[in-house]
Amino acid sequence: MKVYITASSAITPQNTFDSEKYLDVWQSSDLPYQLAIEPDYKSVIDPKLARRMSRIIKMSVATGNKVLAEADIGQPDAIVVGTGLGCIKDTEKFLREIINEEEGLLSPTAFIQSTHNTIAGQLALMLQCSEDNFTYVNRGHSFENALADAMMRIYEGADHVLLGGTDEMTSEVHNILTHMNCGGNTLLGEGACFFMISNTKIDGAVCIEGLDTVNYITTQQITERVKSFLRRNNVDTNEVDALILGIGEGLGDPYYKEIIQMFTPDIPVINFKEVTGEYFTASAYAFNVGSEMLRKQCIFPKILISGNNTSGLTKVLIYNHYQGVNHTISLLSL
Amino acid sequence: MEELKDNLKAAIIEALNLEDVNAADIDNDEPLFGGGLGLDSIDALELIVLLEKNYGLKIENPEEGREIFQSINTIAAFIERNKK
Repeated sequence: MKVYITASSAITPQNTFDSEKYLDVWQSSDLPYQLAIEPDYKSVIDPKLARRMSRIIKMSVATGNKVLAEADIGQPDAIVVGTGLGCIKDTEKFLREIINEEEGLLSPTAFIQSTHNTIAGQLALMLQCSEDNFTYVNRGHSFENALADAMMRIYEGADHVLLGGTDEMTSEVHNILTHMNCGGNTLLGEGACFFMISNTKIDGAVCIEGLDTVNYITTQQITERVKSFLRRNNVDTNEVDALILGIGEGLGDPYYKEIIQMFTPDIPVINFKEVTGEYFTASAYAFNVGSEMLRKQCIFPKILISGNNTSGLTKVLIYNHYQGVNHTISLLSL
Repeated sequence: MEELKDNLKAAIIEALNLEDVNAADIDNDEPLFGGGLGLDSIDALELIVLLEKNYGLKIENPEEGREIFQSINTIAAFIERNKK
């Protein structure tokens, strides 16, 4: 059985929410980390509901709503979200209040909104959706595990699953992650990407041919892992039309170098973290930009780091790793 | 009393993050829950915290809270009655 992305939406530090202006004008920032360009939420979220929402919830609800509208699905069979740090801003607010109030009077809103599953829960409340509601919090594989769950639900008979990968950046998180060297050379970032994962191919749908995740693999093992993944999906390396990699600023990163060397020198190589920066669920955006490339049959020049596309795009390979620990391989096709 | 009501409105707008609402938009007799501002049970908890933090007043009986939180006028009257 095939699994399709029938709609997708992304809010990132570049213009990606408005489909008409997708990656058209490049934004630069002087901040030490990348902040998402957020739309005017008043037109997408009921202001009465939005007043309690932190940025991550607003970004997620806006992209989730857009996906539901695009796919014309009122009630998905499940809502599955991956997030590395969840509603960290509200967690910070709640913890700060605990300290300031000496564990006394605490605001209930920050506490209620501080849990990781608030995002999927908020979407369910808005849709009055009582179907399964899951949140995966697994560091650099949070989105991938949510995606694997969504795919398995389709294999088991679900028609449509609303899937998301989302994280927000704050100055506190930036300071902590920088001390831990979690971004490498790449600026830390944030974003929300939502997808409708469906069992039926419709016009413009993109097929997720397969997904492979692995932890703690060496650079020597990565090429064999990718070859084996492609073999399982009956795809030869010369059938792959483009690579979507999470290189960021790590052009010398040995994992990405090994992957690029597996393919012909002129294969288009897309650096999706130019758009998102680095964060736990940045890989979700690889699926969004991959879908856009296949649907629009174009390669966005701002994120093309080498190669060129002379023929059409039919198959694109996604590879990302988070901190050299969580590795992701996937293949999208038209 | 009018100053107290104005301060109360400003504090409620800030605590409940009532975007696009000004103090002047809130009528002193307007019901805060259900209609009017459309507040809900989480807002009621926030108001309890606000009264204790800003005015040192505790509401321990939920039935009492229902009466007190009817409008700005009823909250202001409760504060006036109980101020130390």
